Amino acid sequence: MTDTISNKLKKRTFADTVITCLICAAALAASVWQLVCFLNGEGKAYITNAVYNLLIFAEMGLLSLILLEIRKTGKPFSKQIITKLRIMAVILFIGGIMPSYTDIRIDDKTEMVSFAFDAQNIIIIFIGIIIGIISEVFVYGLSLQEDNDLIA
Amino acid sequence: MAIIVRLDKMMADRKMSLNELAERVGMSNVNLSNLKTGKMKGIRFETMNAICKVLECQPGDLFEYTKD
Repeated sequence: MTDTISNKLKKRTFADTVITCLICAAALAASVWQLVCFLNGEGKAYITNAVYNLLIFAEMGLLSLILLEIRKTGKPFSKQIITKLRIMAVILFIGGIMPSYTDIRIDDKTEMVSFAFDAQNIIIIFIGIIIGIISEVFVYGLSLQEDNDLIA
Repeated sequence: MAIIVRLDKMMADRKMSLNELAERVGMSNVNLSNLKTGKMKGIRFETMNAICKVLECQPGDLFEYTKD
């Protein structure tokens, strides 16, 4: 890959890297806050929200690492990036399978717990599958990049 | 491979160093060194054109075919 293309790629990914890092930090902060609320006995719903925020943190963290690696090497295809994309796909898939928890208090003695598996979960699962497919595209991209690097 | 790169011979004939050629062609030293030692899989017409222009030679002067 030529130096100019690499430099352009590094410049283009700067804003994305900053934004994903900020979202990642915000997701971690939200997760910790939800966990603290749960530990203070404010409701069981906080623990599911904490887990969802942890999943967002993991996704954004991996995305940040991918973007940082692209900025470092100037190359978009590498084995590490493919592995990270696959981990992202698995995490999204697991996050999609997880049902959303709702705790409803009917009166002082009766409490209803609901685990819902809705369209939102299916969308998350599909996004996970799409990222998995994209990781396979990156495998082909890596082979093309290696070939291109061997052409003067 | 049966194609041998004769870049070193052309450079020696013109008394040109690898660094000077790389600078004038607009390539990195590493890439040109890899091309010279036959580690590259191929060469772009664009690169060949630049090398021929600097060395004032024909593409045929840069490569030689020998039977395996």
